[in-house]
Amino acid sequence: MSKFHITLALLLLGACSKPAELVVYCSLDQDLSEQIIRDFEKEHDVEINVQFDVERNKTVGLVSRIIAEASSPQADVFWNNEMAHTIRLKNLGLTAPYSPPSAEGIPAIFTDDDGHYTGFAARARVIMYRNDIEVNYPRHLNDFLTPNIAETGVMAQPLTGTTLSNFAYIIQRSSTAEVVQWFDDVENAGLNFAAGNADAMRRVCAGDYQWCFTDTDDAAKAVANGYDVAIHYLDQGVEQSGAMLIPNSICLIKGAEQNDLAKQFINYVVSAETEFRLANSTSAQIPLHAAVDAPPGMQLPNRDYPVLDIPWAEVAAELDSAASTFQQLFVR
Amino acid sequence: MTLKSPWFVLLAAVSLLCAWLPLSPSIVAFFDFPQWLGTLDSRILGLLWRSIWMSSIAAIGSLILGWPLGLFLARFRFFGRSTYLLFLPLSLMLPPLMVAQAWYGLTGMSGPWAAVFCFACCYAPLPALLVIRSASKQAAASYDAARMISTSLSFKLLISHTRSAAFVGAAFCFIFSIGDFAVPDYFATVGDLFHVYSSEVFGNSRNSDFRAGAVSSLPLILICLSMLLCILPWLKNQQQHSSQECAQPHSIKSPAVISAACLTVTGVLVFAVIGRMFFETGMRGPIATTSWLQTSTKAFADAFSLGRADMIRTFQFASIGAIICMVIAPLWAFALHYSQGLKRSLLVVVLALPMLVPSLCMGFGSIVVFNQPYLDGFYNSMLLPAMLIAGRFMPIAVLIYVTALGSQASAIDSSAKLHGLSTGQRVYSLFLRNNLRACLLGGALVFVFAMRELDFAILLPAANQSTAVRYYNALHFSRDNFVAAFGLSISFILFLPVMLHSWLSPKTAS
Repeated sequence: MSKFHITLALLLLGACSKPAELVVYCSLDQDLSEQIIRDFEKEHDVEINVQFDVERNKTVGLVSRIIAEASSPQADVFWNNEMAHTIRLKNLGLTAPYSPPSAEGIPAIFTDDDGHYTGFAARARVIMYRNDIEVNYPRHLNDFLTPNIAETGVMAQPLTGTTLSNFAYIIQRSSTAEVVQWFDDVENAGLNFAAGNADAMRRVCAGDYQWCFTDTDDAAKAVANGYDVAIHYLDQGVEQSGAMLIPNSICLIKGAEQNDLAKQFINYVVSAETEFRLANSTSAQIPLHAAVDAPPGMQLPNRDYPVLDIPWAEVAAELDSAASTFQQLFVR
Repeated sequence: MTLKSPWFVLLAAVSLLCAWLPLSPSIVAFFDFPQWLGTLDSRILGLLWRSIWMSSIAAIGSLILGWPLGLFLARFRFFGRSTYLLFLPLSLMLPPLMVAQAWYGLTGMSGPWAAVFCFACCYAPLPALLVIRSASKQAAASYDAARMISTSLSFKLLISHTRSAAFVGAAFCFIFSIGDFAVPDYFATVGDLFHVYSSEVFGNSRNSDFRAGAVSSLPLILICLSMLLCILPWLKNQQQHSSQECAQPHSIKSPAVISAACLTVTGVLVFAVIGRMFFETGMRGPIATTSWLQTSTKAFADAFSLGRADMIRTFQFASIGAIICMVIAPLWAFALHYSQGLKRSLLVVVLALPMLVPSLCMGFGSIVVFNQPYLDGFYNSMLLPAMLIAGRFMPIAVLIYVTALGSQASAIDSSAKLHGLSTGQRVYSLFLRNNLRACLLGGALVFVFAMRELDFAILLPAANQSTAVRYYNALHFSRDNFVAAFGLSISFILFLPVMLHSWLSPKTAS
């Protein structure tokens, strides 16, 4: 047998592996979630096959994969970094009910009535502004239309991620035509657009703009990197006042109902301990358990600022059509 | 090789399994093209036009950088020549996104022109390497005769001889650039926003059914296929003098000028990028308390500890994919060599289409086809990504092998046939032995492209925890030290065999 044949045989042997006891699809940043998952592996002495998404795909890689794999599901658990796409999966009949006991203490608006998903560790949609200079930043979404405010600011195009969910919600509250007109108006007022929230944050840190419309986790990274910035919880309310909160969500995939390890994992991730770890991470995710001690300086929903009651099911139903509208509007 | 030949059946089976089965859902979607044409508007045409001009200028840029460099390195002896030759392929091994990051860090440039410059730098080694290869096969008699008359005449002859090789390299630059989403996306995020046509394809694949992405990618596929069909005759013409004694590098009057020119171009293509990324491994934020060295050391330690398992996994499926390509490419090259006219064009379409369809579509297609309960073991194994890599990047290995076969193949093959050698003996014993270096080069390039593959890596179970996924994740979350250290580590590991081969092999004239 030649060296070539031996090499080929070894490679093929290495290509075959035994199936893992638990398959987790995770769209939260690999940096934040990987250690939490590995700790669960160690605690329970099990092997988890984790499949990550890349931020460029903004969750949709794994969501599309779960949909494509529907005939023979591979995942047991889906840990999503937002809510709307999880509800999409529920509406497609791809999730199974499981209410983790550790979710006790999380407000009911973040959990599914049928138990198909649980929300935890949230981000808020905020204005991040430079603190080293006097900045006239928007206090309400309508302030974006004021030219001397708009010209100094930047926001992500609403093509993906939380910005898409945010404007799908606004479409759901008003109409597509009104939102398209609003974007037209803010562009005429001089507002600038970036490819994503993190990019908008970087442009402010670099001094290109004075404020940006982004998420709390991006703002927390700017602070962690030493930039002198502050945040304002943007009021987006029409009938009620409040900031938009977008939690992580976790669900059991249909077909994994008998997998106790999957349920243990969901229970572990939703727990107050994991929320505490995520709150103290570089992305400063906002804990939803009332019992979790927030890190010093972290503002908490409904204590320090009002929060909108988002009809997530309606937002999820709006996502595809909103994405298509915004692609026509922005990809040019 | 006839249609009934078992070798042709093997070729068809591998192509079907590795490329055409995963492609089949996208191909079905192509039938929606007339309907898609109805949605064509000025926005889409504008995006398409931007992609075309950007890729065309990038291809011209790669020609301007790569052609003279290739000519100088192939034909002249001067100080530093072997070093430039050694480092030239390194530029191809650097992920284009890393090159983009480095140039943004160095100059702060952004926008479409920055993407054009980046593409030109990334792919300039293609025309350079092909020109070196072509020049090394130039007949010594004609070149030396021209030199005796005048230097300019010999140079004109050299330019004429290497023209098609240079254009083939530039055409590949065009093909790789026009389908790239990451580099324009990066330069749009650091500066003023702009979009290219691949953003539209990516958006369509992501936001709705992936088939929408497949059908909207058809204009790019057709442009690239036309380009490939155009360059096909040039591939065959490259080695017309290979049976004669070949021209050798010679001394020149002003070696310092040529050396400085080569140093400048190699500096732009390789040294500036590597230097900047190395610097970035130790870059710190405004409130950092560690020194550059401490930060850099930690970044490399993190790259090794976090990325080691991913690297091993990626090496495994990339190696298997490259080996499949090396085994099948000689058969493909043989089939292409003996085909003409419409049959040849059809074979090129069959071969090249998997590389031109967006890899997201291929990834989703493989889920649709292979995610079956009775195929569970296979679906979760590394064989699946390895097969897709082989199917997708086979054209690279085949076209390199075809250029190596050149026009000598027909005469030698006729003689071998007369001696009663079977097809298998001719393909794998006679020709493979003579063109082993081309086969290895093809396999190596497939391996490099496999290491960079992101889109279908996310979608396939065994490929998800790969170097590309970790690299892009870290890049997005501003772990700049880690990204630089991880990118450099991958490039160094890829480059190591080239370096060792160069140092350990006996020194020859060229």
